Amino acid sequence: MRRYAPWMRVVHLGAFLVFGEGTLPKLRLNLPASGWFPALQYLPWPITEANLSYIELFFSPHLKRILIYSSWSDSEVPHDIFPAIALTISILPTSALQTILAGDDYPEVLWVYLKDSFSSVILRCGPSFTKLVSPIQLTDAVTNHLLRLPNLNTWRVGGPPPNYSASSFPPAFPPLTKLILRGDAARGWVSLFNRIEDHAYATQGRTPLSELKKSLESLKVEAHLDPILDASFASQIKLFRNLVSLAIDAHCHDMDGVRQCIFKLNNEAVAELAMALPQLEYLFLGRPCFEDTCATTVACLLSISVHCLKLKELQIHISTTNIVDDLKNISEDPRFQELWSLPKCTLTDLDMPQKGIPLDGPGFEIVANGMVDIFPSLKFRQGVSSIWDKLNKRIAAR
Amino acid sequence: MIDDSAPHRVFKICELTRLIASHVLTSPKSAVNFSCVCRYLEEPVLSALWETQGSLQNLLKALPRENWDCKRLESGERVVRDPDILLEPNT
Repeated sequence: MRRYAPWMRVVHLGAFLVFGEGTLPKLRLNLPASGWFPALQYLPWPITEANLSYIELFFSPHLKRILIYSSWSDSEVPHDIFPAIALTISILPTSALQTILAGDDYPEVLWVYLKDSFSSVILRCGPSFTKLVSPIQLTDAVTNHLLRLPNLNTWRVGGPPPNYSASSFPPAFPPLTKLILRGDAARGWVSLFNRIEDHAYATQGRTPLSELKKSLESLKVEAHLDPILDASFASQIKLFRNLVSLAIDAHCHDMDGVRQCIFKLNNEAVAELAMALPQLEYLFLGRPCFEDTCATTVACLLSISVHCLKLKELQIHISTTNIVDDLKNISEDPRFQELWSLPKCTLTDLDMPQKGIPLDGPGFEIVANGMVDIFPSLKFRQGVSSIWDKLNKRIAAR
Repeated sequence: MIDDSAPHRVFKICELTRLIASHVLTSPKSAVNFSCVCRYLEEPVLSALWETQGSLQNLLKALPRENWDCKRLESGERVVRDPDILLEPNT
């Protein structure tokens, strides 16, 4: 071990390695001054009862990245080892730590338990820290500490922001390039960003968001049961004009046994969002609507195509129940005439509901021609239905 | 004297030997062959071979055979007294 272990920079710990009772004392007794794994930089750690007894042997002072994960389900997780897990996490070396990744596969109850030990680790992380992806909700002190880290570029936020007043806004936000917000925390954070901007505008002061507004390229909002995608929320996102990727997960779901559509944007709100975010290459606004009760139609696709010329991938919650009439309307409506004449994006893939698309006849022609007029390079994703294949052939023959 | 030959002067440059090793080491056998060329090549070979490990098995198998055993473990099984280290067999 002395000969080979010092060369190891990355080791994937198996979940089932077991040391006998005689081995660990020997390993600890003969521990070299610089540890058994002095060069270890990346440690994927599946927490198990077995490896809790020896994981600290891998805690090198040079550790840069740690991935913590588990395959326990809520019913399997052994609560009696929570204290040992918390204790072990609290001694993670942080002098060189840059990245903490914690998997979503953990039972929620464990994350709640680990809040304090996890927070203590992050509080010890210094300016070299760049990436925190964890579902855990942090204390206000840890959130404030993270906001002061100058090189933090990726952050998955597990909870709502601290309750800032105008006089206690953070002086600056780190230059994040990627921000992931849990659905239940997203509204609070986005609202905070806008309150800060409004305050800076009103007081004519420098905004603490100046770096973040320039740097943020990817914003992801994870699924939540509340109808988060409404005009107010979309409007607040327009602050981040350099976004290259915007992904807001929202999908129709059962609420007390009743299927509900939770998408509350309309065509105008989507158009305004597209106009405000011209750098977008990836736009995911909910999943295709299967309830057909949402207010967005193909009309918003034309605005997206015209305003987001760099768009490469699009998924959006739209209703296609009246797609033939909708396409006729936007081709005749004078408000859309100028848009038809402008350059369009080169989007190739689109996933949309099949409902309302005629299998043949004039209606089929209107859909095929209308969709390719909106997205000139379009190919529909192949699905179980032959309609997409048929539409693709018709588009190719144009 | 030998150490001053042109190839050995090259082998003393860690960056170069590591770069060469990264291209040459396609299998454990090639690693052994390569490291036997010159003692200066041992370090880059060890570095390349051990840098990323998919598990601890290779390291623990470097211990004397009587210290470890390979068995398929049922989840939850923990008590192993002899031998000292129980590994998950390669799949």
